[in-house]
Amino acid sequence: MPINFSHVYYTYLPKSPFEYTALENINLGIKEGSFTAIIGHTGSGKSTLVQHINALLRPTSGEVTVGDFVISSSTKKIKGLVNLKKYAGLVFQFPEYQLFEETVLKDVAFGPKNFKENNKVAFDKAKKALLSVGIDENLFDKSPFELSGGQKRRVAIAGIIALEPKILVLDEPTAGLDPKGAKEMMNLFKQNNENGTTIIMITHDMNNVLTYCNQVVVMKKARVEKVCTPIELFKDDNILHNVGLEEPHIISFAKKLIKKGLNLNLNLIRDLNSLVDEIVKARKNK
Amino acid sequence: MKAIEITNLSFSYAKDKEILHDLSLEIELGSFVSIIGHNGSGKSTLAKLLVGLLEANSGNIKIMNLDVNEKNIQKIRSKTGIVFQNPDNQFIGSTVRDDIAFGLENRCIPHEDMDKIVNEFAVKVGMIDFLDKEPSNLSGGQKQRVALAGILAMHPDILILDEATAMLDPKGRNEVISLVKKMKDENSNLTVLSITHDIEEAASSDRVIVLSDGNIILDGTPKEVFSKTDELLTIDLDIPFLTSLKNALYKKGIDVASIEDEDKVVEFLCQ
Repeated sequence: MPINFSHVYYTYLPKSPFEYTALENINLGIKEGSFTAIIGHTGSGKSTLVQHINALLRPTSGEVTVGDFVISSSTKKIKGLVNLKKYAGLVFQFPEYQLFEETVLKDVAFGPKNFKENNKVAFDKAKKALLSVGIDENLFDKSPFELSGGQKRRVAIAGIIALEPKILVLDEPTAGLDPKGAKEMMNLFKQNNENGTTIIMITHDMNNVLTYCNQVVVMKKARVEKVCTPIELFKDDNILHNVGLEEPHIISFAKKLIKKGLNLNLNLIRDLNSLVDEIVKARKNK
Repeated sequence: MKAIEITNLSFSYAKDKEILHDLSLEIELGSFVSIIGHNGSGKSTLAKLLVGLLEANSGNIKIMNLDVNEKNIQKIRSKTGIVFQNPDNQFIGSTVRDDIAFGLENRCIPHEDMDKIVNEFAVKVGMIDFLDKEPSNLSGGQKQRVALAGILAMHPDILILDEATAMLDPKGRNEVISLVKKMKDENSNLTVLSITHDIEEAASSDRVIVLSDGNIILDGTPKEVFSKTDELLTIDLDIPFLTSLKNALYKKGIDVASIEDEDKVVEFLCQ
């Protein structure tokens, strides 16, 4: 399901002393099956933007379309809103704070049950989702509150994956995870993406943007500043500086090599291994 | 006097699993110490024990020469400030201004002084334009900066950061770290204990302690600790970029292990 934002504005608490415009004239298209990063300074409107994708927020003006669903300020009742919530799963920052059930399995099955699946189907989906995020069967009957932080995060994300969403929206999914946990989490999303799920991820981690994403949306002061590929972004020193982000160390190192005359193809560098491959290749061709 | 003295500390949440095991540790007054370790290694548990939010099974903790116990806990809390990972759990005030002022109000600081202090710290953390905003409408990073301002405004002897920068973008993180350093420069007795996953952040402290399954497995200057690549990798911690690059190059037959400086590695590769 492609996503389209057209002239979208969003204002928090309009006509009050706390009035605050978080989105200004957003025009943006996200293709089906893409792995899109949303980046920008804190407070630039990233979280507000993604909350429109499953109609958690509705535009103050303008229109958001997700497949056939139309979300605008004028539509009072969105046709099939329940289905939209199922198609577009949203994982908030620190989703582990939303765990509430007695057991891990019950917590994950809550979503499917809420969407009127019968008990057996709901528990089957929950088990499948838990195994896919790397939660072992012997944890299924434990209280989610007994788990470590990283495990809790996985259980919370399994709760959304159990709904089998076509669009998975993630707000800083790896914040606070240790490096190994973060990498496993990113590989899980990559796998979902390869199986056809559109992934939209808010992140500050430029290494993840480089390694996993194929589109980047740069937000600045409530507006979309630029839409491009990761490598186009990292080639543009101005824009990174503009939004207060740093290029990955891999890229700054590659740029130094290029400047000193080593002929690397920046477009092929996605992670440490591809950087090393390019270095080896360039040194042979010298 | 040590800022923190821990002797033979053990702690478990449930009977079958000990989180911290016979841990002993001294932290010098005025030092900047990072504790790193994977999720579940006992880092945050240690922070909660230090401020008396959890009670140890056995062993002893002294903060600024005071035993952590029920009698001393109020005194200890007035000397320690802790910023947690998620600022949503520590907001009190209905505006940013009220929130920064909350701790000062509790200490009966006169109103005129309070206004000045609130403004001073709002400027320091870059939130002066947001003083009348509701904390709930701020982004995660902005909230964390406000939380930090509220703590720093009370001039604690010991500042504990429990993954306090995890939610910030790189620029925000650098701002917070340089703010903490500035506070340290102004008050050389301020002790900072930072629990973090961020290697670069740990690298900027005076001392790095690595926890794994409740035990201290490495302890030293950042340079000493980060040179122990194999130990760090076996417990699934990251190593700095240059070290992992050198390892990857070595596997392809390019040996730059002896070159320390990044720019010199660049020169070598371009020869």
